[in-house]
Amino acid sequence: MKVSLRWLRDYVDFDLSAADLARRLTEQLTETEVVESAGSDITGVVAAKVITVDRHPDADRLSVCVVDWGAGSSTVVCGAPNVKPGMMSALAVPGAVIAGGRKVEEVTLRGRRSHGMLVSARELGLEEHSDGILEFEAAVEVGTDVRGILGLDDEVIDVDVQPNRPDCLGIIGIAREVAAAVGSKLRIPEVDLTEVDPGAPELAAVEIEDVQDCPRYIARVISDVEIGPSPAWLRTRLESVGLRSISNVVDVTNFVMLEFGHPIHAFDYDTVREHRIVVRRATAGERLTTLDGVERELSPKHLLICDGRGPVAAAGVMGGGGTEVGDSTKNVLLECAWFDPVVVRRGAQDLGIRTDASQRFERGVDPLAMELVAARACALMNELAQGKVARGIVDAGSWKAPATTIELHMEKLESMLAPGPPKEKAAAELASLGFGVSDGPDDSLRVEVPSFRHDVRLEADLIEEVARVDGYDKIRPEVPFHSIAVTTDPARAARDAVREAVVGLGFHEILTSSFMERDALEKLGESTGDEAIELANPMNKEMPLLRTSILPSLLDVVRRNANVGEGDIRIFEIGKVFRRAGEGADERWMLAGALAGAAEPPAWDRQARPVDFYDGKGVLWALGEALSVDSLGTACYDGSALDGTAAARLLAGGRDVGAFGMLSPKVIEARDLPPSVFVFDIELDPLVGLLAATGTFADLPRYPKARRDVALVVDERTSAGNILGEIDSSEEPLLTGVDVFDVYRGKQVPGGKKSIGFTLTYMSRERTLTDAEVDEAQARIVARLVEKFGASLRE
Amino acid sequence: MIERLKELRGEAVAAFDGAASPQELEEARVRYLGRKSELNQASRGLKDLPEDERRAVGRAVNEIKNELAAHLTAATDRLEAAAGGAASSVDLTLPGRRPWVGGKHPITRTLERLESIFAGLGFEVATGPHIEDDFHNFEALNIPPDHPARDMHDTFYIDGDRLLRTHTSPVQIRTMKSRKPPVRIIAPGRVYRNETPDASHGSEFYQLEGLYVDRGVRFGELMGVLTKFLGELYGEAIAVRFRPGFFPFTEPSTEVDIECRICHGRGCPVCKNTGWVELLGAGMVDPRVFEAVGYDPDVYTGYAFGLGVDRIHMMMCGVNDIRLYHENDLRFLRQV
Ligand SMILES: [Zn+2]
Repeated sequence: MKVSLRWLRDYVDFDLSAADLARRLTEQLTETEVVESAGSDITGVVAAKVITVDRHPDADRLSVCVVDWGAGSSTVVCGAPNVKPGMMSALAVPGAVIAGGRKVEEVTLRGRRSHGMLVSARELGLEEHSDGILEFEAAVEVGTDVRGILGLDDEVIDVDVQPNRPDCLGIIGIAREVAAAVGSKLRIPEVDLTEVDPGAPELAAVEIEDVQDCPRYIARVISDVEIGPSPAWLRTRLESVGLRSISNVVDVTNFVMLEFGHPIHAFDYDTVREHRIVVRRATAGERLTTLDGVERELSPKHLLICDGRGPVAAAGVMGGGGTEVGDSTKNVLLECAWFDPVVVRRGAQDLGIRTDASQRFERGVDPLAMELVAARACALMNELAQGKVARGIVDAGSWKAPATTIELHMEKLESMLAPGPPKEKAAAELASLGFGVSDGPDDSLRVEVPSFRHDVRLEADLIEEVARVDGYDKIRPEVPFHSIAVTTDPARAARDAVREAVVGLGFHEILTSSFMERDALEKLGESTGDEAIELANPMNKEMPLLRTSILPSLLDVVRRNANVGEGDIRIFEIGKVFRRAGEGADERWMLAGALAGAAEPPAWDRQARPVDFYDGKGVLWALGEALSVDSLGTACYDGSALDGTAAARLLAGGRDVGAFGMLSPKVIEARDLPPSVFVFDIELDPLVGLLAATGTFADLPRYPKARRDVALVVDERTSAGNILGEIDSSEEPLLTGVDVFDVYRGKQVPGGKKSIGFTLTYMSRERTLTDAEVDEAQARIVARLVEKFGASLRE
Repeated sequence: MIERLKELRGEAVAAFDGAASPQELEEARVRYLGRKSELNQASRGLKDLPEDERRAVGRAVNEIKNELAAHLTAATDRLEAAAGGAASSVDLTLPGRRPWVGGKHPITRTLERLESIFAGLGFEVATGPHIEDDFHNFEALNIPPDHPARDMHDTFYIDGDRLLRTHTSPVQIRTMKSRKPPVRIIAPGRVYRNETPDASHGSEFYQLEGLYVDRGVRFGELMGVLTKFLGELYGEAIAVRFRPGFFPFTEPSTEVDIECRICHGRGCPVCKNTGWVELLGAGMVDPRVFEAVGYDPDVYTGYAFGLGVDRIHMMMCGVNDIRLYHENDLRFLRQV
């Protein structure tokens, strides 16, 4: 809400600069800013009377003038053609600042000293071009600052009015806050109306179909108006807050709306058929062309203002074109009504428009100010458009203003706002805001809530009123000691542990959108299925689904980084995915990640090697080790996003928790990704149980380990995993570990075969092992493998 | 005499060539070439020798001195090279082989920082679903249907009354419905607003909200706790301002500003020349919220507060576009 300070001073006196006023309102009401105004940087320009004008002896186009500017007379050199003795103009004295921050100094022009400068409208930033210096009416007093004369000294503040304060969508509401802030008195305009016969009820009728929608509707009639331009003061008022002046009658409705915060509407009386207003819901398919020239189709959710034949306005939202006040308007029917906020809100939302009127009605206007608002508008139409105001009002419906009285207990006030103001001060503060205050029982105040403050309904609301007028800085900040036992959510702790571990493995965490394209998974060769949850009103029509997988957005991040030259990628996200689950939704935490580009950071002595399956798998197993999840395993992968020959399902504690592997070449091609990308996509919740188990301490081994290597030549089809499993199941009591140290294919082994080298580790907790017993155990295992896999030993 | 000199020469060459450190080399130099060395004494004793012997010994002494000087120079070079000279086999200035270095997302790091500060103030972390219903996201928070305050939350709807949470306040409602006071929690997490993203608004961003409900909780405690929190975050000296605000679920409500960290309160474009930057919204829990969750508003009072995590980090690092947090450009992630 923009407020001109000059306009504001019509209702309240205050001795504050715009900046100070903005700060006070910010501290008492809501965020308020000073709006930069055109002439705010102009100083030192005063009204001055030209006494004499003589031709400059050395320049045809210049004059040498003596001017009286109140504090004395000065000689100035002037080039304007319109300068003449006796005229009242504007003098920029030496040191003055004019438009564009230009400073005026004493200068010598063709040998004559000029003590200042007579200025044009352009030089004050008022016009683009000027033909001569400013000329004021003779009544202006010499020495007066021209900003006052020209209205350049007006300042505008912008108050960010919150939805609970419709009263502050009128300047009087703001003025009331200012009055409370500075301790001065609010002046509400008094209306002295001259009425003529016949009375309004004889000229017009109003019917309300449902008083729920419109509890009260007042109509007044103003006849013989002379439509014309508004006077300067009214135009300035409206323009100062960014409204365009249209005509005296229309300007009055806008002015009164801005003044009281109550929208009113002027109909051309002679176009209102049967001179009858009917307030009713629209029927389905009914049409109305609104003031903006748009023909709108209506439904029963819209409340209409109709005349004797059909719709003339969307109630509380926008008037219709057919009854608009124009140049030929002679008589005016003025509407001042109270419409149901929800009905107006839904109607405006449905039409997709928000107007100054709908914004105010949907927040709730003051029901008790209606007569005053209408009378004020009538008086101004009489004053500015010579309209004759018909006696009385056409009054339909009735408004039983629900008077709210609240007891404010001082004990409650003190305990909430410690220390809180004393009772008399609290009472005065509430009274300054328009509340009726009297003594209540048991050290309380009985507070009557004014009709324009329907946001105040509870004692807590009153405490806020006192707190903000008293000043939040009066409240004593305290950090008391309270002890509350804090418990940690194990699932969250587990996710934190996973994050730490993945970062420790050199990955950057990313956070991507929860939204997903409809065919995001199809683009990866997978299917979205019908489990995805769809938004009814997506912001981006391309991304209407809640993601069921992190992979699509993860791969987008891979591509975008590769495209800007960041091709060595190790990224992960811990985030939610969403699925339909019966009537409800299943929100699941996932860990997804990608490796692309070089397997190792670049170094000067090694060749960059692209990421492969084993780099990624190594990361996952290292992650398992970091998190003490040692029961990782793999199962066959049957999806299509990954390359079937280098991908697997991940098992943790025997449960399938996700997939990992190289992205399929098709997806890489289709998604414009770098050549080799490893991804993993793992469900986190099943890991929580595995993580939560803390290790059990066993004495550290006191005897050395013994190692034995063996290289087995086996069939190409035999997997390392099979052999490892067989070694595991040998149940040699001394065997404590096994690892693969080498895989070889080539000249030294026959075709169709490969050699896999294993390191087996033996240890006893009781004694140092002898070579002989280790060799025996190793021999038993090797024999077992030779038999099981038809393996031969490679020397 | 000559024999002794040859012996000395052998010892000295071995000592110089074998010196493993500059100290060892210096000791060897003093022993074999120093003023009190045998060689020096021999050359000083020349004058006492017979003429013919004097010439032969003199020549030998000089030869040995020259030879040892050459070995000394070589040994000095060798030790200097080992200590980093250009001729070394290890060039200490070559870059080392680095492992990959990762990092948490700045939002995560900020959340961790905030959570640890609030943990110190006795707040427990609570979480809730992202898919919420109208009751928990709006109605229980005193935002009835068709209330103009709904305009403050552009909402993503799913179907029926299901929606994506527009704030983490529904976590407060769920917590209060499931526990009796005292309750002291923070609710961090992702929230959703159906707004076209720009430099200062995202459609998905992170919030952290706090709630404390007990008997006799005062407004001053809210101010004290938030002042303490902001002091921890930005330094004790930071100026904090509490001014009125409007939130349907708190009464009284307050917006909390900190002194602009760009201009230190003097006024600049970032703070729109006010010297203050808005950081938190807070207030005393509205009695209507207590009624919605079944707490007796005559017995309990409490405070709630909320802040934008992205914004806190932006203010800390001078990031000028909130969208950067969700683009995940590695160059950005490594920077902040
Ligand atoms: Zn600043």
